[in-house]
Amino acid sequence: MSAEGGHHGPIDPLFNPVIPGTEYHLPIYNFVITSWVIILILTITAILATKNMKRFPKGIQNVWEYAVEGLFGFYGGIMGEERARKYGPFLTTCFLYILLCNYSGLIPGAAMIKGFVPPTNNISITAGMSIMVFLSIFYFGIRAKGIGFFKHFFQPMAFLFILNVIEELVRPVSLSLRLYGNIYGEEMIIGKLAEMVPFLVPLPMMVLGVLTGGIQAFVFTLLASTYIAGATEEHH
Amino acid sequence: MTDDNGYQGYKGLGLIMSAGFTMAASVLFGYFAGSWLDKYFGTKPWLTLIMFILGTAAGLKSLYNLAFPKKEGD
Repeated sequence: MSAEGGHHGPIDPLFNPVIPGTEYHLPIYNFVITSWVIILILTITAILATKNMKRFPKGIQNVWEYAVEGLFGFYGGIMGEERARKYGPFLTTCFLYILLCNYSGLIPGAAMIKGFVPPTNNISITAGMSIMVFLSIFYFGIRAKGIGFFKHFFQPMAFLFILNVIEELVRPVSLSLRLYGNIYGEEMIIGKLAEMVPFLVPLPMMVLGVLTGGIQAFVFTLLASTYIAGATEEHH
Repeated sequence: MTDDNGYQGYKGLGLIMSAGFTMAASVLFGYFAGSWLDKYFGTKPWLTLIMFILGTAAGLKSLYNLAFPKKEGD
């Protein structure tokens, strides 16, 4: 975990190019680049793993098959095999992306890079993720049930409409704040500890960081999957 | 829903860990949405109060929904 982890306040963007034809800038911060690298890693390894698929997997294909099978099995327990196959790709991508983001702060030497923070340490990234989940609930729900999807706002009783709307709107707020808050808090503590005693003392917190990173990625996708399961269930 | 695939324990653990934050976020959302609306309509403090109570109720309802998810065929 980077000693800069607890760094807060305005960080200067790494690049600040002007958008051609306008006078506006497009600041690109460190965490955005970290996030791009993670996306690239996921994409490249996924392409490599599926290029020459073998009956008995070896190497990188083995790793991916293990991850995908495990996660699909888990979603299957929540929404049933059939729907897990349908919505699993989205949820699995979320999980792996968040997991790598959370763990990116644990890379040895990351502390040497000034202003390096895990992408999930920034509310913009987590808010973006939860808005994706929020929109996907509507997208998957409407695709599965058509206009009948909106019926659940009036269930079980019509006067609960306003509560259901608030409940729906709180989802992205709580998703993004939970992920951001946990990672930010943990990074902050490690950063402050490393400032005071750089040797050995932050280690227990870093171990806890490994745990938090995994658990938060897991909780985020678990909640996303229960939301999607609720939105797409068929009424017979 | 199948209960015997070994993932149910993890699911329960995840839901427990998310429960506290869901409740807190609902209450806070109600409060802030209410005070924003109050500022917008100039009706201080009524909408804050109402939204605060509604947010709390929505939080309880979403906890209930997490604990008792609707099953297929209901």
